[in-house]
Amino acid sequence: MTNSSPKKPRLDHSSEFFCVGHNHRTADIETREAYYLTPEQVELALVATSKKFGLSELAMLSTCNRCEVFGFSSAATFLSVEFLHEIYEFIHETVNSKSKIGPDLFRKTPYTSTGWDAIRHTFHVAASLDSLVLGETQITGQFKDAITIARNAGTLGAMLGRLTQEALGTAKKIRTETAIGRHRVSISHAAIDLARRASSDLSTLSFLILGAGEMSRVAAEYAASYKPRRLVIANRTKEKATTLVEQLNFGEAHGHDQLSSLIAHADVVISATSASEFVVMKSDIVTAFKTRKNSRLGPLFLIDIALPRDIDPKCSEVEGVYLFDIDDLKSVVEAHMDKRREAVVEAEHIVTERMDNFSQWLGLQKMAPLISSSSKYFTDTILKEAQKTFARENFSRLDDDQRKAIDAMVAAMASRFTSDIAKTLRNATGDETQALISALKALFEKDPSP
Amino acid sequence: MDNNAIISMISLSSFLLASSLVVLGFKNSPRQVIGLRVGYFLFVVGTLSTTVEALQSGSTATLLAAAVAWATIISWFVWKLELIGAFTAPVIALTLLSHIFFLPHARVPSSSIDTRSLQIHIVAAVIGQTFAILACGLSLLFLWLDKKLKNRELNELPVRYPAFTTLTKALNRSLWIGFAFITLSLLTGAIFSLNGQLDNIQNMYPKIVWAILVWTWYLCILVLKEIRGYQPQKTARMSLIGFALMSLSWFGLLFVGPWGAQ
Repeated sequence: MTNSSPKKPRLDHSSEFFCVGHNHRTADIETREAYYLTPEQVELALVATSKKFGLSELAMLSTCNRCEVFGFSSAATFLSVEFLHEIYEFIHETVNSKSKIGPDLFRKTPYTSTGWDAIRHTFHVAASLDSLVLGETQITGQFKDAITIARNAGTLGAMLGRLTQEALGTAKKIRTETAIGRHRVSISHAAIDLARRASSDLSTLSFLILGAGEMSRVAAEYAASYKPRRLVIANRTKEKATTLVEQLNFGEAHGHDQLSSLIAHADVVISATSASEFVVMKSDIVTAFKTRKNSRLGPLFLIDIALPRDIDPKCSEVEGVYLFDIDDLKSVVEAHMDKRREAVVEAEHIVTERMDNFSQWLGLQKMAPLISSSSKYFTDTILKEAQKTFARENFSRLDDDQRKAIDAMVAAMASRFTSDIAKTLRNATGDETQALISALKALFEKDPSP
Repeated sequence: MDNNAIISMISLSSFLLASSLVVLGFKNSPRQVIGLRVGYFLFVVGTLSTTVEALQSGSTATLLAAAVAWATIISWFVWKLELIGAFTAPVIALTLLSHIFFLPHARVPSSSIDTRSLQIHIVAAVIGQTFAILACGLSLLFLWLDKKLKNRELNELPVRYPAFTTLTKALNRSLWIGFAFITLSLLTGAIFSLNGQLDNIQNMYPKIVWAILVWTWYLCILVLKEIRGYQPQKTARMSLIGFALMSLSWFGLLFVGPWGAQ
């Protein structure tokens, strides 16, 4: 987590934001597992914690990679590490009776951050800059769900609401304007993307997926999303393939009995079975290619994402056959990750820019009562003086229209003075702001002089 | 320096510069994008000036250069094959150089010996050769992709590199169109010479024999591909040989006959 804050440090509510929790950087999988809360538990915990600690603004993000509480407290002086740990401990004690973690670990493990660090962290989480897989899209949806839960629990106030809204806006901008999410980083996705070398239009291709396990399912789902010309799922146990086809509502299921024939009609074969020996041999490819010549199909891509491997490496000796294994795809995924990492610099610029906007908004929130007082002071003072003037004899002959025009001028003058003060406050920094606020308070937070 | 010479210099320098810039498309770095765009821009500038030059001079070399340039631009839009420019730009530059140094006087025949069959012969030959050049470029792109995928060098493949199906489709069409026009040019050339309008037909024998050889080779490619079901890799290798044979008939027989390069 970086410590940078917006360019101009301001006197605002920023120090009242906080964040406490675990994530993949600070806790191992067992810890994260123990701290995981369901959406229902999160909602209950937010209500209970809000009452117990008098915190009106709280939200909680609980996923497989993080369990974090985001909040805003107007009593910033109480936001000590111990206090935040206490909040976190209370949340889990309230709803997570199954927790296997003792109180000592409770106090050691969670990280805490406050002020601009907490704000920046919120932006990073929403934009997937803090995710285990940089740039993954799931976190943004989970972040939106966390906001909905907080809203339902009645713990999403104006300040936290604005922060999460800004964070989501930033996430959207980063996704649209940088390359952070453009390159797929899962092996199954990379396998399908590799098929683009056969045809840029995946809907024209025929896919054969061997196996019906998790990796096959992910690959089949991704392939099906392109509505390919043909999608065949072949598994040694045909029933499993049938179940997967039914889940996808697309494609056809086969056993392994007519493998050569299935390969002959495929452009891309993705293999992810749990077989301990080769499933596809060179002889299968040679037989398949004899049929292919007659039907004039293009090249055949064999993508083996199984370990141990399913496809005999000798298959690549056949002309027109391109064989790739999990190591080849890993290099693609790694290259894609590098591209995402390169995009982080650009994304950080966007985060800084949006944090500056948020800072301006926060500044205005803090100064709103003061600006309102100054506006009231100017209006009252000018009106009082105007009434004194109108009471004089030489102004008594003014008609209604003339009086209205003078009233409007008085209001405009008050508005102009207030606007100038707000602008000066917005542009002031550090000590200068404090001095201005003291002076303005002394001047305006009292009744206009008689 | 007259206007023709200026246009000639613009055409040649545009294609020479484009040759060195369009190859940037083979690199994956986003930093190359500006250079690549400049390369495409120069290619278009070169195409326009070569077209003007071809229309003004009527030279067969500039006609061929302009035809290849336009075919390249069309393939960008039809097949999204921007990288083909990396092959055609140097070929065009070489053709323009041959025009400047070896064939300044080889041009479409004047009206004194003009016949319809000779005009059709020249136009068909230029179009046939254009598509043979395109097929060669596509074959090179295809074989490079084949090599990279066989060697599993996935990260070395440019993002904008065309897919197999695009290359195969474009290659097949180029071969068919090229073959059709080479056939037409042979037939019209035969009609022209049979009408006895060629004074020194003996001088043209090597060119005729070579042209028939090139035609036969392309016929073999198509027969083997369509009837024997040859894999695109073999078709691509054969079309490279076809282009080499055709280049020999262009450059190797430059000094045969009054219209050696036609």
